[in-house]
Amino acid sequence: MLTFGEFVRELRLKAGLTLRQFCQYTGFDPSNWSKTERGLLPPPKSGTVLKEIARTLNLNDESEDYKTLFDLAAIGQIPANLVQNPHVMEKLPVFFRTIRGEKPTKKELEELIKLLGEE
Amino acid sequence: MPPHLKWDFIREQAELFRKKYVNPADKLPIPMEKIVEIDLRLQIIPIINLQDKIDIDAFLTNDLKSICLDYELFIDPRRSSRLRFTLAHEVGHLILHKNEIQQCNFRTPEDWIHFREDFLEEDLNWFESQANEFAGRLLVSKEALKVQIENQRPKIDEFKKYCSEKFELSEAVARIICDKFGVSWQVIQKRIEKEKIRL
Repeated sequence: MLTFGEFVRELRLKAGLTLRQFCQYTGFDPSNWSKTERGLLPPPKSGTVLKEIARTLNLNDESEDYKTLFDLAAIGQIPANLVQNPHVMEKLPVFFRTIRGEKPTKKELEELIKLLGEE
Repeated sequence: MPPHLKWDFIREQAELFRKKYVNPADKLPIPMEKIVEIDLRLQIIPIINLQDKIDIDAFLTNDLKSICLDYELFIDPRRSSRLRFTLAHEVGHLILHKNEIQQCNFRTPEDWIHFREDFLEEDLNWFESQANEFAGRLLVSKEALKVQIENQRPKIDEFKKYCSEKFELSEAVARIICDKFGVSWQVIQKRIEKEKIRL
């Protein structure tokens, strides 16, 4: 699974934006943003900032990429010990769909509840 | 020890690179940042005080995936010409010295210092001058240089009345056309000399 930084970099290059252009549009410092893309700094927490990133990358707010951007930003805030657990990471998409109000299957929900109980 | 590549080979590589990545082929100045990041997929990593720490403004990492750059050089719009040449220089290393760089073990500014210490001064100069030649030829093609010089012919004929030395004249010419190429006048003067262009 891509990290938040890797994902944004992929989208940025796909949109034909250089690091300089991206930072000019969003107001980020290029040195710090480069660290975010390389995973040396955590993703932004603010929804407003994430929306600005999505706007700069021309993401439609109904698109999968838009949702993934927010999901990966949230994963970037999760403690390292949980991120290193492959079972937790496997269930995160179900978790995010649940909190977005997108109904997961009964089986997916049961597995998620079981996993949360273990953690 | 770096390979002793022939100048003609280096120029040929620069021409091939321009044909592949510069579109339209006569576009000036050449958009090095776009080529480096979007086309070559190299990551640009601005590092604060890189120049102060290791006395160079950029280096290509040995995994050939990133160019570490001095932060001030990257953000200062007054140094955009220098930045363009620096990026073209590092691309020169990528094209000409891929094997040598991959064999070296450096990823950080400190690793680069050790790498340089292992080189004889003469070899290091040769290594760098090859990348400079690539960058100069890539950013300033002989054909485009001739066109720009002819565009300024009336001014150049005027300069000839006042410039007694050959280098004075080439500097005066270089200063009026360097902005077209987005490089310093010194780069243009060097190209006039290297390409043996009569003014």
